[in-house]
Amino acid sequence: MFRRPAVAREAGKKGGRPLLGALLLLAGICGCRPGANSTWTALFTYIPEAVHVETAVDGTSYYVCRQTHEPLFRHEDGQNYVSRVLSAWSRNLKHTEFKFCPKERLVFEPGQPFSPDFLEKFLSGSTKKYGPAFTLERSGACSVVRFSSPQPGYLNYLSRLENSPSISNGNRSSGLGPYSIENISKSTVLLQRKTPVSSGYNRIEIRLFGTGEKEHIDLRKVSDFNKLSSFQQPDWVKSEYAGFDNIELRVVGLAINHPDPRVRKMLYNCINPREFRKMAVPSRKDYYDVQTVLPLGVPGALGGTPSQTCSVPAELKGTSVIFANSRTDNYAQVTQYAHEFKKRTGIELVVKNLGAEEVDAMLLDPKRRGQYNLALIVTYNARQDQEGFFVFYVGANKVIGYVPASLDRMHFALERETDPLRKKELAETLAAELGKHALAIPLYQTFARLYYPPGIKNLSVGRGFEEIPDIGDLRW
Amino acid sequence: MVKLFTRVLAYNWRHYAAAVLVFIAFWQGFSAFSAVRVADDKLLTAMRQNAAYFEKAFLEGDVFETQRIMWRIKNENVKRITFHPVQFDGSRWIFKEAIVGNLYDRPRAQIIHEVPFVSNGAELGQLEYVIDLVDVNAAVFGQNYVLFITVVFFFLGLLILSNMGAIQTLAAIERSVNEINSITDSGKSDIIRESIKKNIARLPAGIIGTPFAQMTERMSGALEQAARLESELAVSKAMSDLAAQVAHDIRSPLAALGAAAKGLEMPADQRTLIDGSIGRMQGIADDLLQRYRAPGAAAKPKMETCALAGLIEQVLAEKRIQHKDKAGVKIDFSAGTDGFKAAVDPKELQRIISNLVNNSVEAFAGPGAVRVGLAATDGKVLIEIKDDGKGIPPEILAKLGQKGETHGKAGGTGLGLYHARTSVEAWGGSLKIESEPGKGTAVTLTLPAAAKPAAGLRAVLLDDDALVHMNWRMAAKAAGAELKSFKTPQEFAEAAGTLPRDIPLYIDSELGNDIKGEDIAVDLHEKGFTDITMATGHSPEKFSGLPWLKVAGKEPPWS
Repeated sequence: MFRRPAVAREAGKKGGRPLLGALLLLAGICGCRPGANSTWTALFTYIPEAVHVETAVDGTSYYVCRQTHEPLFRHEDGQNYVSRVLSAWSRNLKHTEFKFCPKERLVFEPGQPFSPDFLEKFLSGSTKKYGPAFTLERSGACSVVRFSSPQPGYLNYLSRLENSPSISNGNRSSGLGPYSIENISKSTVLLQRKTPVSSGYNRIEIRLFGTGEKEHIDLRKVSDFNKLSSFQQPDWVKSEYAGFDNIELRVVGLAINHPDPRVRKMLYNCINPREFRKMAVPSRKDYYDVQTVLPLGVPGALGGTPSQTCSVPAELKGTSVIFANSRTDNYAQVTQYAHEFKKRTGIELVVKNLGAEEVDAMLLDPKRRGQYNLALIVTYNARQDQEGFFVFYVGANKVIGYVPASLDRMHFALERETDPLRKKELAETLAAELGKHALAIPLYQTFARLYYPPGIKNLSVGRGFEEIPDIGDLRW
Repeated sequence: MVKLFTRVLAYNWRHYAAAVLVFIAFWQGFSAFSAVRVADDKLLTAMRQNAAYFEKAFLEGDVFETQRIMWRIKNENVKRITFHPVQFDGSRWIFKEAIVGNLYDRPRAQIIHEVPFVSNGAELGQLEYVIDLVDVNAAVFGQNYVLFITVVFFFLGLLILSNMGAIQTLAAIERSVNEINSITDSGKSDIIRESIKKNIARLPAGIIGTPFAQMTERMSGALEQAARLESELAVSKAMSDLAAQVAHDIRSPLAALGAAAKGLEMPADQRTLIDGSIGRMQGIADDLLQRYRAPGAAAKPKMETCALAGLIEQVLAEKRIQHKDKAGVKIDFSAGTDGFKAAVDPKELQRIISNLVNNSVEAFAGPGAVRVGLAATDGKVLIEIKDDGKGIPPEILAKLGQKGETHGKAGGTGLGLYHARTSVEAWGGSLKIESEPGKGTAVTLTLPAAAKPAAGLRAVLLDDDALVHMNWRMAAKAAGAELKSFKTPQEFAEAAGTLPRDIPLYIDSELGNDIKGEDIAVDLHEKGFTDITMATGHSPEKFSGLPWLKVAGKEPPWS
């Protein structure tokens, strides 16, 4: 799953993340109880200009798409596939034939139903992206997909959010989720429920919690602070909202984006993770060491720190590397660190204090890939699989260049693999390769305590590790 | 049938509702309790079955697998489970806890259990699970509601079937009562018994022979008797009315006949007979009027102070003539020297003497003597009727004087002696019978002696009946009394101014031309007349609203 890489997100997201499944506590002391206000308000430090499910790599877009889109399947308990958009589905034991029948009463927008024709067209395009050869035929209102070889990962592929049925409308896309995007502005994304309900949230406001905006926000009416840093959250949230310790699979890494592999190798071995994280995220006090970008708890993860031996070839001394700093609370520390790093290694660390928004924009824009060499990237995965932790490093949505094609292929294979043991092996290998190619330094694994307004009766957790609630399911 | 059902429901809906609610509450509670037990058992069983797999994943720090296993352990009636891992060196599990399920807290309606999560003897941690009773109840109700709906109808059927017999019986009883009421209202009470019999026969078999049916049977008999008595009463009243009317109407002619007889020349014994007969007829008329005035009730004794010797002599003279054909029968009278007087009803006394003498004579098998004596002692007057007849056996003597007791008289009703006793006792006296079989019987009447009556020889009569005038004039002449008589109120009014206010006034009630004598009396009373008497055949009750007004019959006060 894609998440906003950043740093700002790193700073902000600590200490309060929504957990899996439907979570919502709209509470607070001053009248933000469920029932009194049917609007769910969440605060983010970044608002995109457009939201499309296929490219929902940033956290805000992903959060929005989770409400507006519904993949063909959900795999929340890690074992069973359930569908909210299919009236019936079946497969054969060999995983070569799959039949899907749509719930025709669902709509994307008024006048745009989830018709059998649409499903057929969608399956055609989506399965083509999946890869293996297939045939598609209609059987009444249903569509049947046939593969020549077993595809046990097909359902898992169809359960990814980015593979949800979707219709693009300008700067937004519409899905089969309970909400549709009403408006996107610079500071707000508004979602409206397609079919209003009582005792539920009929409206969602995604609001920018930036420097200029926070004065206009009534914090007492905010439901979800979990996307902000802990220091950005009001103190009363901890006492007035219901909180619990989440199993958070989240790793903060340092992406190394340099064309010269010798420079990458030197940076990989000479940047001490513990020192760097202390400098880059001075507000944080507790860390868990990880050897790779896989967090502990994920099969294939390893505890401890990466094995490093720092040596700087003479020809590299004096090289400048650009560190795109997305935080605003570490200027002194970063300056100090840069000074010491140069003293130690002879490498000049050029710090560009860009802020979170700018850094994210730069990372997501392939054309700007040459403007930085080092950047903090946060990866976390809502699903019970390992591939999500590699998305910003390898594959189609990577934010760094110079990644060998073999790693991309390995990632692709990892996505398609369904056998847990084999996935674990592939993940371990891929993680090791990342280190071997000096593409990323794992800095630490984080934990989160999430807070939600009290009074929500169906606040369910444990469905994957997602921090984004199914707001449409919540009732008080 | 619909009405029947409606009545069943109307009578029993509370009990029905209570029964249904109790059943539902019990069944729901039992089901919820069972569901909780099952949830508990299922979870613990799933824990045991998955413990080894969980241990492997836990030791590897594999949160994916541990979460999958926790979902397997949790069942639909468990709200959430939380795994609190044990801490040990080298543990790869770095998280504080793992939760799956619904976080919503309902403090007073949740059962929270914490059990050790043990895998082959090793404790992996504590597994806390929450069962929400509200959710369980809702789920169980969702399973049970069809049963509850069935129970509602089943109980309804039971209610109707079990009460059908009772309601049918009740309806039959109501029909029966309605019919009786209808019959009673219509006056056809004679057919009530038949109606009730018919209705009882239509009642359910189980109720025939029960105390209710017996009561109904007795009730029907009582109703029939009441109807019969009512009918008899109506007849009796009609007879009473007729008798009273006859008595009223006959008094005037009798008075005239008596007055006429007085003026005739005839042998003394014939005169005695005629006078006696006329007196008897007047007595009969008086009797009828008395009964008419207060039928069945003790007649108010019409008493006046009388010279007893004259009365008795009159009767005995008649008896002698009556029994003159009986050989050897003698009737003697010993009157005594003083004029004994007592307050009696003269006609009644004569009747009593007449009956007693008749009893004595009828007790003779052959010749016999009846001696009537009149004496006084200690303020009492004694009248003794003694005979030397066959006497009365002691066992019968004790009962004589009671209503219905008779002796020796064919066709006798026993009413004479009873009547004599009651009358004498009403006058303040007593009646004693002494008898010895073979020797004779003596009946003694003891009466309080009366004071000499005050002289009253003046009277004023207002009556439109010429015969009454004649009778009164003759009686006044015979008594040496002064009588002023008037036929019309106008004549009276012209003379009223000259009359003394204490002079006795006698006024008839029916004065002709719809003039009522009592109205004249009221007027005179207001004018100061103090001694006013209605001389009428009407009962005193008619004038009960005028307490100062006396009521007497048509006879002159000097007769």
